[in-house]
Amino acid sequence: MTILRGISVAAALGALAAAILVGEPEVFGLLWLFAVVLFIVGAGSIAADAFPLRSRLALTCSVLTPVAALVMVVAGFARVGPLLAVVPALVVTCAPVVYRPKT
Amino acid sequence: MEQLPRSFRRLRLALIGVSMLCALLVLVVVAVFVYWDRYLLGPSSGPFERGPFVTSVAEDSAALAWTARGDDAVELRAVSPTGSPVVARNGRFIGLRPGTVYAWTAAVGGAARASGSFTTAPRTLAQPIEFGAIGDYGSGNDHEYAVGRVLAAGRPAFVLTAGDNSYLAAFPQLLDRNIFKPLAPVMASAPLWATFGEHDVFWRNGAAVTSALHLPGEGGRYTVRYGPVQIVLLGLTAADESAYDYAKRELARRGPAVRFVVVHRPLKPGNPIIRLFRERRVAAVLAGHLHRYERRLIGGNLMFTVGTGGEGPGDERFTLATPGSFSLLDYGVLRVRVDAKGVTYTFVDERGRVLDRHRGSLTGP
Repeated sequence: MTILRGISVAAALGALAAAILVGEPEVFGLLWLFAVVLFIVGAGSIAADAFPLRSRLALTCSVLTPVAALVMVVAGFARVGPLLAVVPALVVTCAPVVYRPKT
Repeated sequence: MEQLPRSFRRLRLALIGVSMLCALLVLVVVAVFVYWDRYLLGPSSGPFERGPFVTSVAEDSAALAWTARGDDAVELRAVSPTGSPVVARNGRFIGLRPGTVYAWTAAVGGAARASGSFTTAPRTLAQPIEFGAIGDYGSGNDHEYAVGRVLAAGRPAFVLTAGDNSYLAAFPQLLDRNIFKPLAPVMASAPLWATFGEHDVFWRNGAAVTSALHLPGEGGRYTVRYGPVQIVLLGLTAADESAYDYAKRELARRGPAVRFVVVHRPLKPGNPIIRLFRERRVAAVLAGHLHRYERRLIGGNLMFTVGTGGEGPGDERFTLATPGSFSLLDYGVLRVRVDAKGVTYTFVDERGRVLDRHRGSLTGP
């Protein structure tokens, strides 16, 4: 697991912890902070996974990480529950770590 | 990763750094735009092109008019000091109490987009009435805006204008610039009852001003009542027979406790209408045309010239003081306060200074 992937997973887990432990609407402020981290680190992950391309799953998940960050940002406005908002970020950050294709 | 050449690894790291920097930049730009939109930009320009402005106030009714940009419905409501609500229909409030200040709001799309207040006419002079008078003002310059602020600060019940409401001519396209914008603060609270000067009648005898201000008569010649106060507006001149006949008829009406006459051109000695005004006990004649403030007696009538609304004196050689008058070359407003015992006239210049004060009776000088 690279440093960037580690930071992404940590941010997603942090967002999950916040979604569980912190009530609304304060939780959305924390989700914003984690979303900013995911957005920036996700951009770096795209470059890392694309150059060189080793795993399509990892690249796809990296591309989807900023999108998942945006979902966390708009969750408060769209009245989506914080737990539900964190799920995409958890999936796209953890999937490349959990599923490692044999090379 | 270890198998990659060193230069490739460096390039990769640079790419990662640039990507993260770009993402950070995107966030900063978005944050700046959001902040700009939510906290730096002012409110939208609003649904009104003109007004709402008060067009008439009587003892138990008042009317406002406006020009809106869209087709959205305008909810016009007013509240008295005791909390009694009134809803206007077609811009008109009815069933009001005399001598009462009503605060009005015009809401569009569920929010107030304009507001003001008006004072219904009292039945008697037990409650003093204050109004303002200006003339030769419609130039849209800084002086007119200043005069408009001084007018609004006096919170007049109504405003009389002695003509030349729009320079150089009263074309419909010029009225917002020359009348409605400079005088917007006072027009939100007081009707503007205007007579006409040369610059107004130049285009279709002032039809654009008559229509825009919702005046009750054409050519600047009509009569209005504000409770016990009667105002006879004669138009451009009081020197012709039709003006005499009109004034004679209107001043013969019974009821008013005090009468004022407004005409654009100042009266000249020898005009038979001067005697009529004296006989009908006109409190004062208000005129414009000369771009000065003047107070004088003419044939036993008190006459004010208030051509001080903003256009300015131009060449002083052509703006000479009338012999025998108290005369000032300035910009300003004549404030008039009518009470049960008499009338107080105060000339306030565009800086807010009181430059003349005169106490007259209800029936003349």
